[in-house]
Amino acid sequence: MLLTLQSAIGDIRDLDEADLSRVARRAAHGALMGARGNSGVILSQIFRGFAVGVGTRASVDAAQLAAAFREGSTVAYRAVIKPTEGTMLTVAREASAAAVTAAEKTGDLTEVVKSACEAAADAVERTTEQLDVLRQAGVVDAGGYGLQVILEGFLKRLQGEALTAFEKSAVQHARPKVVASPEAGWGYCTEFVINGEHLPVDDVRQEIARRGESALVVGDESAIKVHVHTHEPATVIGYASGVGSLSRLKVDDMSAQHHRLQGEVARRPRSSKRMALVAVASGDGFRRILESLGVDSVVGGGQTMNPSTEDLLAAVESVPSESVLVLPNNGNVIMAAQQVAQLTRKQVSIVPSKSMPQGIAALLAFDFGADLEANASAMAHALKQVHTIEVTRAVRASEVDGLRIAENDVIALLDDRIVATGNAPLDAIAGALDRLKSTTVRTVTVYAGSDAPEAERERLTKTLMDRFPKAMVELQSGDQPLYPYVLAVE
Amino acid sequence: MVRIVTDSTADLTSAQQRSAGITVVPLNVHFGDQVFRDRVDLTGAEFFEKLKSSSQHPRTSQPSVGAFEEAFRALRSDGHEVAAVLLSAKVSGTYNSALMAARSVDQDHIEVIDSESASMALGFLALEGAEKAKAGASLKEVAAHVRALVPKAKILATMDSLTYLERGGRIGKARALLGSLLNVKPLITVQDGEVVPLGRARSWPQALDRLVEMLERDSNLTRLAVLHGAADTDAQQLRARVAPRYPGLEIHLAEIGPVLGTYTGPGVVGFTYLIA
Repeated sequence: MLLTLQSAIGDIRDLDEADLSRVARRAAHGALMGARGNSGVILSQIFRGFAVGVGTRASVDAAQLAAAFREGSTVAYRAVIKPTEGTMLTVAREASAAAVTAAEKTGDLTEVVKSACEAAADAVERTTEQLDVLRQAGVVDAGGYGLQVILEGFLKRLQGEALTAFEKSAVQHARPKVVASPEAGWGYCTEFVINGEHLPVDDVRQEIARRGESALVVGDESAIKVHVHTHEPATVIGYASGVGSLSRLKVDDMSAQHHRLQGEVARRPRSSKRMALVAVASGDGFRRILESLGVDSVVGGGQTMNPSTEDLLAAVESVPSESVLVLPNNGNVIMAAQQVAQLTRKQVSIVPSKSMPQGIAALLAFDFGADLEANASAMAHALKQVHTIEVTRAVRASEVDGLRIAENDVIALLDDRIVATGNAPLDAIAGALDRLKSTTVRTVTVYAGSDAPEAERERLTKTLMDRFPKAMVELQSGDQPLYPYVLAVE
Repeated sequence: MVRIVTDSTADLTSAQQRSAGITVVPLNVHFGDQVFRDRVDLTGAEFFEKLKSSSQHPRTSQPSVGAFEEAFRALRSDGHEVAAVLLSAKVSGTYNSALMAARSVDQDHIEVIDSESASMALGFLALEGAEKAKAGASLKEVAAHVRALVPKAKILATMDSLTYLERGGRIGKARALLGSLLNVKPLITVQDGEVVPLGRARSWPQALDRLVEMLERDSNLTRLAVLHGAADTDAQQLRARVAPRYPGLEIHLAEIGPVLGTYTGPGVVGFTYLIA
């Protein structure tokens, strides 16, 4: 959510005019492009609704501001397929309702925003009561709280108070960075924003596409965001600077990345396919497994480092087919993936896989002879046939479903619910397997994380073979961070 | 009368050949310098045994033009016209050999048809042609009947691995199934005469489940066979499993021969069938 907000701010930072409609539109656009995770996507929709509510007005009065807040909440609700109360949606709705009520009584902007802030704070407090998962953990909804903080920042600015800067999240460092290679030749990932008036978006899109690969050109006549892989970034930048003024320019050497993937790329023909697959994974092992099963583009990310809508969109645009199936492989990525379907001209279907085992089970149900819709539905069905066990360490003490968990305990999740704890991964896995209701187990696949010791992997595999003598037990390296083991039980 | 000629990859038993009056021209399988006529000098079961012990990987060859000429001449001299239906021309030169033989023997009274298929799917086309001929149809009518059935002959199969298909250079579009890091079973079909991918399954039992599912998606089956190579038990079980769904339909068990076995390897099962 913070990254999404930063992306929105990045888009309005260079704007030195006091036209609210433009600021709101640009912020919405920046948020959408940088949207990561469910709360990030919802935030981007709130901003979008707010921009719609503001319309073409350069400034708003109290009633118009409240109406824009309400539109933000409405659009966000619409974007979520199954809205859940006790989340940031509730906070957005109650804050905007309070703003509307306040605006009926006063014309003072500060008062309206203050009411929204108070209602947001109250709503955040109540999220603990509304959602079981929050009550058990004894915390408030993080997205809701984030929205409250944004509104409070808004209020402080109106009241002329100084704003305190938040520290950047440590999580950000987990995103893998491309290391520049000394040899040139594999091209440069080039990104920038063209600013101006009456910008010819379609012309720019065509021109950029002609000059490079994986071109992604989005925007409107006032701002165009460009992402392209090219051998000659200077030529592209030269062209673009003739169209308008450039900002947020970034050029990355892709040599290192390409060298790593060279083998796979060489094998994979670039010819057009009937259908292409895009999947999200963290860990080189998982990436290789997905590619070996026919995934055309693997987007890095997953737990704690969700790929943005833009990352997913770039992957969808880069694959050689007009029909694309997307496997988010994480519950927090599904919404960002769903946004992609609205941003591309390609036909996109999202298979709602919430874990790597689910994603791989879905992938194995892929039918080369079937169309996009039939595949999406068969894959969505297949992913339910697998149970996922994930092993990690508790980041803090809590109590879940009567299970007392101390900080740093090994915990095992069965299909996203914490069901067992232990001193070592094997104990926790045994506990999770006890909770499994499946009658017959045919295959168990162990995906070892990057820090799972070799001897322990072997021991776990042997234990599983003893426990399920009739099943096929397979050990694979997922190389995923944070989770020493991920198990697929079929 | 019209008589049917096919090749040994049709997987017809000698009883089926005899009762339908079908002439079968064998392809050849080579282990080093040793040559065996497909299903004549070597049965499927013997071949898979030999495959285990042999240090050399077998190769195959199409029947010679001469072998077809001989078969066509014998039938012509008995006063018959000939409809030859043969292994897919995309994967074998068999069809081409027969075409050349027909030109040199008697082009006007011999029709050569590309089945775009193999195994019992090809066998069914031959049997259909023979039945039509027995009913007194002309050469043109028999050939038209068989050609019309070409797109209706289907094969669904799974196998232990695709290594044999790849090594033999017949993998076609099923190449997309190669290279999986997970242990998976490939599912393939034959389309327009070529091997094409259907999907993957996580385990052998799951592969069999998928085969049955795919079979049941097609309706109006007129003929059905379970094919296998060194997987007799699985084939019997598959037959027992699908039989209740097709009352009144005789479900053949077809054992593939050495030539097809060279490309599938041991451990292959599948369905071949005709749809109305």
